[in-house]
Amino acid sequence: MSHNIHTCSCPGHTAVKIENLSVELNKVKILEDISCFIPRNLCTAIVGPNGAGKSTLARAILGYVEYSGKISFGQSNNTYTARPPRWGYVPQKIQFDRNMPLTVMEFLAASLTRRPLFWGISKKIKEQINEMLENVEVPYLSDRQLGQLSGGELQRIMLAQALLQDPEIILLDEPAAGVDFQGEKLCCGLLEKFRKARNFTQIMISHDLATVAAHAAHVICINHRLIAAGHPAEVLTRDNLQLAFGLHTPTVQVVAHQEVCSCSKDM
Amino acid sequence: MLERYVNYCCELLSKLPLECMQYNFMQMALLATIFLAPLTATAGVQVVNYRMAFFADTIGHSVFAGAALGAIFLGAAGPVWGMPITALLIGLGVLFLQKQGKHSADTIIGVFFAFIVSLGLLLTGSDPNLAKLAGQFIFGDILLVTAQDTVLLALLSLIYLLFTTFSYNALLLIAIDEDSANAHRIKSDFYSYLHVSLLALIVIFTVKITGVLLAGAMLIVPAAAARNLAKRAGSMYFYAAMTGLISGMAGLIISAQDWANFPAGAAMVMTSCILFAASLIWKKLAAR
Repeated sequence: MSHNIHTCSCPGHTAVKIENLSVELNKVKILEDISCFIPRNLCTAIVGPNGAGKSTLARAILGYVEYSGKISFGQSNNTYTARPPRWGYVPQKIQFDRNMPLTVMEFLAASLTRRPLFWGISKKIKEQINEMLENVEVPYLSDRQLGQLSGGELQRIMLAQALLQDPEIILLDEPAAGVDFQGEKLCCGLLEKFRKARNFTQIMISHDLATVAAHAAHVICINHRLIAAGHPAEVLTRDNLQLAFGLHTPTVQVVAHQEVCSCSKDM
Repeated sequence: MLERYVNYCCELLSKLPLECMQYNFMQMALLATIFLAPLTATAGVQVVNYRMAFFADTIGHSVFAGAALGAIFLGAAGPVWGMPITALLIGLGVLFLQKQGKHSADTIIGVFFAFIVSLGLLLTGSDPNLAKLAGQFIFGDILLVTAQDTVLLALLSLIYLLFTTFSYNALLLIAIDEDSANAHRIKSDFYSYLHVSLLALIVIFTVKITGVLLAGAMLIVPAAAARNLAKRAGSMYFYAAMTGLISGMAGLIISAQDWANFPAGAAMVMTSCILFAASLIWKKLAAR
């Protein structure tokens, strides 16, 4: 029996369940009473206009902001837990001291092992990192300085860092921002390949509806409140977009996704 | 008990073929430098990475208030406790308010700086004895280092070495991007608070030896030179330690020569500034 991924909320097939989530920062309501869920092992996009609270929602899921309501994580043994999963996180843009002497290899090694960089990097770790750089198609960056990378290259390295965590859920904050179209397509393509090979859940925050329509299997549209959640074709409608984005509504061509809930395999 | 080893080390240093090493206070000063310079230089690596130079200066300036408070509440032996405790409180206070994120990091440090310096002046200004006590920290004197100081310094070095060994990578990742470090299971609060606490102790100890005016330089200058020399975060650590050690020892020995007769702390810092200039030129030439 096939199963509708957009309505199934059993713990075995849900990565994140959000119930009545509200966030208030400095007495301003950023998020109000949001309830939705993120299906397991698929790509879910969180969309909304600038300032809609997308990043705050992501930070609440990661546990960085105080919130009221409940966020729980589905487990394969069919129960929900409050214990966070192993995250992989790709930030939107990072601001760091670009003159810091630090190679790409060192940066990735630092996130893999506790052995301090001044003791050198073991051969095993080097091999693991080179393999990952090969996978994200930038093997030539290994000895480059992190501060000298372009926006697209840096994003690829942050993606490699997240993937090296062997994540259960990978969260990307605006993967299309600051990267050219080609780079973004490559990044999303790589992620899709990885997700299928390694079975992790992918959450993408985006205000770029074209990217979302092309890659997401499930869409959550918010503007402080939940506007809609479900199949891209049902969520990215003219009415919903008008509600979320206001007058200048972009029209979106939705790619028909045929993905089914992971539970259909065993039911 | 541990002082015995200090005396033994001093005896070893007296074998150096340098005339000035015949004096016990010079042996003691050189031994203290051998511990202090690499300690401050490697701590400086994180201070430079985190842009905490102003922070380190603020901790340094808390020494007047700390010494005065110690003397007022605990008597003659008070300053020994008053200084590190005040420094710790100031360091943790700054970090706590920065984590709240309501004001910029610079503003918070500026306010703490103003507060702690004025408190120091208020307390010492009304009492000539306290003023004299606090005054010695403007210019410290490495030639007055005691065996007990050296033992404490060695212990602090050991603790900081252990801390760096298990947290060098984590601190680096937090400096690059705290959110992704946290997501990737690095408890950034734990590391930050521990780091700031140790840094406060290191700065206060340095102030005791080199004085407020030069303590910041002991941390920043070798690390800044290392930044020019190193291409890797791993090697920056060693470049900093070496620059610190070489400039510390060379500065101290030069200051004791008859033709020079410089204040030791100033000679040490000046040597590291010259090394920094050399590293800058080296970097320019290497980039060609």
